[in-house]
Amino acid sequence: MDLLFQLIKSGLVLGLLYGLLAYGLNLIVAVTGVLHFAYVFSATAAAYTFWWTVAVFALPMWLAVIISIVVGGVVGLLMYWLIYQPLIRVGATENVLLVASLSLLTLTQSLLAMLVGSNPRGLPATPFMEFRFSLGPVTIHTWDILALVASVALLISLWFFQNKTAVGLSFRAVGDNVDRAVTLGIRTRSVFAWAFFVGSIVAGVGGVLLALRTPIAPTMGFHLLVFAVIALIMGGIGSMPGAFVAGVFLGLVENVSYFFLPSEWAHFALYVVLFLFILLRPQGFSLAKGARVA
Amino acid sequence: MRKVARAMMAGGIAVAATIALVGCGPSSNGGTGSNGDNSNSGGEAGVCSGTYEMGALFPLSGSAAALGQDFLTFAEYGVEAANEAYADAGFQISLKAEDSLGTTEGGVSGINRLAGVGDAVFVIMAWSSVVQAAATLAAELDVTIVNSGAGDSFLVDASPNLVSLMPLNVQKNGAGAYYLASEKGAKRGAVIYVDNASGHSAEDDFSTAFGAAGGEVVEVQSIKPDAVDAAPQVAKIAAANPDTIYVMTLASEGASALNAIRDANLDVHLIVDTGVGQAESVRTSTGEVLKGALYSQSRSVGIDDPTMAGLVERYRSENGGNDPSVLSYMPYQYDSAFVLAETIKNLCDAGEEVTGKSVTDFLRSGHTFEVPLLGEVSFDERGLVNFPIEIYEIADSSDPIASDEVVETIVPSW
Repeated sequence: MDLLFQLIKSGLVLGLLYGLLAYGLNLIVAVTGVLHFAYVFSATAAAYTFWWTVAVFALPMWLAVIISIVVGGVVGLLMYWLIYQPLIRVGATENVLLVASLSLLTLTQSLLAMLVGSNPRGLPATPFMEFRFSLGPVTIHTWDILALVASVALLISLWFFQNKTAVGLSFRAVGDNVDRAVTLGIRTRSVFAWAFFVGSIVAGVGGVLLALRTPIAPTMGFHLLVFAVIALIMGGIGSMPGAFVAGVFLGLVENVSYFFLPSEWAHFALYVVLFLFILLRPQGFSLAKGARVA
Repeated sequence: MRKVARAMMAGGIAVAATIALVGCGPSSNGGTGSNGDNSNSGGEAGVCSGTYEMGALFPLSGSAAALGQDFLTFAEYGVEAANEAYADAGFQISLKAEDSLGTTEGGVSGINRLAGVGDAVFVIMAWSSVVQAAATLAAELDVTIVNSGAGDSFLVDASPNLVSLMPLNVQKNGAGAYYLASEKGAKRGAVIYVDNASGHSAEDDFSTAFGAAGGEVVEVQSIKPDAVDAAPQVAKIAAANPDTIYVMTLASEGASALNAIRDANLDVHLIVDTGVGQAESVRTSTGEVLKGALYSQSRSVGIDDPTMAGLVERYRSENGGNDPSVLSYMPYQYDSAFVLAETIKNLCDAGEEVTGKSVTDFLRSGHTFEVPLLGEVSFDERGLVNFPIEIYEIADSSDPIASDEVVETIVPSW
């Protein structure tokens, strides 16, 4: 039974990471309609910035975190300005935008590999990151606490941003109906840019957490993107909290399945859950009626 | 939101298409160039002339490209040096490279381009899936395949035209398992392996050898490539109460596994794959957990070797001061050209034609080669290199690899 508790803890922590990435991606998809697969590169850019600022330039950790997260956001913003905005301006269809996002992911990863090489980079281990303590049968580590604190802080900040600021409220207006938002005088380009920036900042937080946990590489995070997309579907497109909860749920399903199944089958369990959701509850966790495909 | 739902459907299709496309990279023609002229192969006894083409089949695009490019660079250095060393013999070796992508499909198309369309009689390659795929065509194409960077044991007897200059895992893992069970008294082993063909094969090697040496593997867990967390697997391993854990992964997920072992505070013998034990990113990021960890390696050539030091210095000067990837693989790429040159010389001296079959037969005949980095090299009748295996202990992972100590040397008899 100790093992089960340990797996639940691991699942919750990993789920927080999935949930964060799903939240940011959902924000971009819900507001702009762009299924931004290159989103994960914002996490990669933040991770590399974090590595450079800490391991190479030896900046204080707090400053490195801020710079890295902002870089993640700026990378997302640049992608919008340089790629998506021109495409949207000339009336590109959703399929064109999709292909563009996939191409952008491959292109950015390849460029980074050309610039810095494909060798993984690891941050030096520190006593702070190696700290741990026991809570009953469960061992808690520094990274677990960081993931929890970052997730809670980000969720509160984003709730405040989306509900108490003009830009955040405009997200909802544009996401619900772009044409109506335009007639109300909302500048959609500006709102789209903000959505890319804020969503990519969330990815940046994920990137920093990843860099603290494991060596980083230009192609990092693709499977996390896959989980973020699954969480997006399960949580319901347009429901940011739903996506976050779905991410945590995925982490739990993946980890707890290790208790009952051989490790090779853990991801199989995830996909079974995904297909059940698609079949039985296409709108995901959301209470709203789901979009039907004709 | 309806539009988004449609986009999601299209997204699934696009993802599948992109994944398929990403696997298709361009061919790369690296090396010293080739006129593909093997027309002077063989002939009069003692006379060698012309240019013999050596192929190189490495991933030159995709996620493994960095390592593949480094392999190719050291193969190029080796061809240059071998041409100088054998200048008096009257022949030259040219190098032609193809991109294997590190995949089965890349292996098949690459060997066809090099030895079917091209004129290579001798092709060096790495990545087990590539070697295995190319091996199926080697006899038909009359080409000698030289494994210079793949370790999977399923390569034993994969082709009558295959020789493994790099020792296979069955030799390396067996040595590590034997050492732990017979010298360290390990009885209860556990394995974390990367969930691919190499991982499965290595797990099988270790479990078999550990069992044969008197131990028992009590838990086996897999980890996905590039996984960021291995806590569940390590938790299950901890529950089985092992005294030894073997981590057979690549660097990225290896770091995750080692971090999880560190976090679980397990007091065990740790043995890791050579690539994990020597990867700077892993040594840097995992801290104390690697202290005392073992890895096995065949004859090592470190930076303290003057030839290797010169090669590394040259590499650095040509690559912005960066070090080559996993250094321990590089002697196999460099020395391959010398193995070919010595073989050509001997065949020519004997008046034999240089073909894939004659090269393979000569290599498997037990002839001993003296090559610059690896020293004395010979192959058995199955094409396996006869090298002793050294067991290394990591004294301090924050120190360079050169500080790792050899604690045992074992000559495999399996």
